[in-house]
Amino acid sequence: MNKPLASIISVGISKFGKLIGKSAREIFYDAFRECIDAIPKFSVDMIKAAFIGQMSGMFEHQEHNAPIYLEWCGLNGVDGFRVECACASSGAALKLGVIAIASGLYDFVLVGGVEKMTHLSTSDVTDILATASDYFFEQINGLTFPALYALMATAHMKKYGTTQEQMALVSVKNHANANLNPKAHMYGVDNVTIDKVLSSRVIAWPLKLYDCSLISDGAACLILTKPELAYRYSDDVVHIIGFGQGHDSISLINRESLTSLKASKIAAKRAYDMAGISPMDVDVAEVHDCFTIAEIIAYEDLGFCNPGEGGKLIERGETFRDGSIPVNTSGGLKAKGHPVGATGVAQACEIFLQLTGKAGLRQIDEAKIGLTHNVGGSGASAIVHIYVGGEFYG
Amino acid sequence: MVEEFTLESFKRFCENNRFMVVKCNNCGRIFLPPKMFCPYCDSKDLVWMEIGRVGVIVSYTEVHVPLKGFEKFNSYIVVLVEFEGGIRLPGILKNAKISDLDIGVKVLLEFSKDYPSGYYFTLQQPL
Repeated sequence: MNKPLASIISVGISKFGKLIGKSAREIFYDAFRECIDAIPKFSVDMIKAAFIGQMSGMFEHQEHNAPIYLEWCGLNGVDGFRVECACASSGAALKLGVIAIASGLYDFVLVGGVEKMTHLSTSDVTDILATASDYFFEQINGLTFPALYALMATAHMKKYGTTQEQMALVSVKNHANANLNPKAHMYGVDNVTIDKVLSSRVIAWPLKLYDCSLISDGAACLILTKPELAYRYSDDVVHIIGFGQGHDSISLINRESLTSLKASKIAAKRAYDMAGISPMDVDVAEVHDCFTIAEIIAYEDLGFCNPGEGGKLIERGETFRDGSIPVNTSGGLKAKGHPVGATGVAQACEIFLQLTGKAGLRQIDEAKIGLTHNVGGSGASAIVHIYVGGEFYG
Repeated sequence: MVEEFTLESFKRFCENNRFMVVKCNNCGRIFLPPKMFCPYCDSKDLVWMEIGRVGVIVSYTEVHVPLKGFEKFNSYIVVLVEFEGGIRLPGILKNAKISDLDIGVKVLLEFSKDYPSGYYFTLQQPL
């Protein structure tokens, strides 16, 4: 295992869901307040830079958002950056935050993400999300995001025999996990069974309503510092020991494969190499389950199983909480919710909670090494981070 | 007139019922979307070339919640089609049932201003 690049000393997450009457900046403040209140020895005026992920200003007709979030957190003197990488926006923000710390130029950095979506109609939200796919060949042919992932699902089913029942299991698992996460959009809302998934209405065949992640409001943030400073401010520390980023063509027409995301594979390889670990060392992972098929493909691209065996991996129960590699203990994008710009940092927050033993009823025993996997669009971007709990390092 | 290797040129060819792709004179490969350099060998020695309109389905879906602007199509099938030289295009498949489809089925590219992309597909009946 290689040495830490930066360390997380606190995390904060707003409630995810339909947050009526709250704008993005107010939701972001909720996450920020929770993050700061957890570390009384820390003072907000120590923060010198902020990297905040947000997919689109079109949801609130508001661009130029970095100074807004700073103003609403009382951080006007801070260097602020809004980072956009579609649904991987705050995964990218986290990577930039780690780079800022590792550069030695900053001692304390705020990393966050936010999106406010539920005040718009589903049609308007789908339209804004679709702008993260290719305009000239995909949007113009009526392809929504569910439709793009449906094309991957159809190909995966044909090539490997993956079934709609296996995809449904992803939804069942993630809804069960969300029922143990009070911050999750679907907490206490639904008891999801395979039959319920299979009989839900078709969105883009073979994907049905319960194969799709949620339209949610929400924000997440965390404080990064240098590893040698971390324990001055918190007893709960999680180190980031590797990151990787990969890109591929914006459109599916130029992909080498429809059954794998090359960007994810590149990102994972770089992250594993930098961290000095292998996929088998990962104890808990948050992966980008924007659709159930996306989680199955992620198992394969991240090396948790061989190509084509993702469906069988969940069928054997390996990615459930009591399995060998628990995935999306938070409930994932599917059931925790997917306020797109917040997702990457929300994943990091869940790993922080798991590696510090603070994940409550969904806590995984002996979780030492965690991984997050955040995808932009239909796979033109992917960002992977690898974490180790402070008490296990060295 | 020499057409530039732009998306606008591709669209204009479609409006004139021609399925044009870019060919690299250096490595001989063909590609879409059009770019000003060959994505395989980086040569700038390029030319437009017309290719056959019959391809095979490499994946398919039926969209029940339409994208804005596609409501008039109700639920619609979108196929991803591969042509000669590995050229791929997605598009709406007209007059077909999802239950009749499979990967490998042949389709024909047709041009029409009724579709935002300027084209659609129909099933190519087996001989």
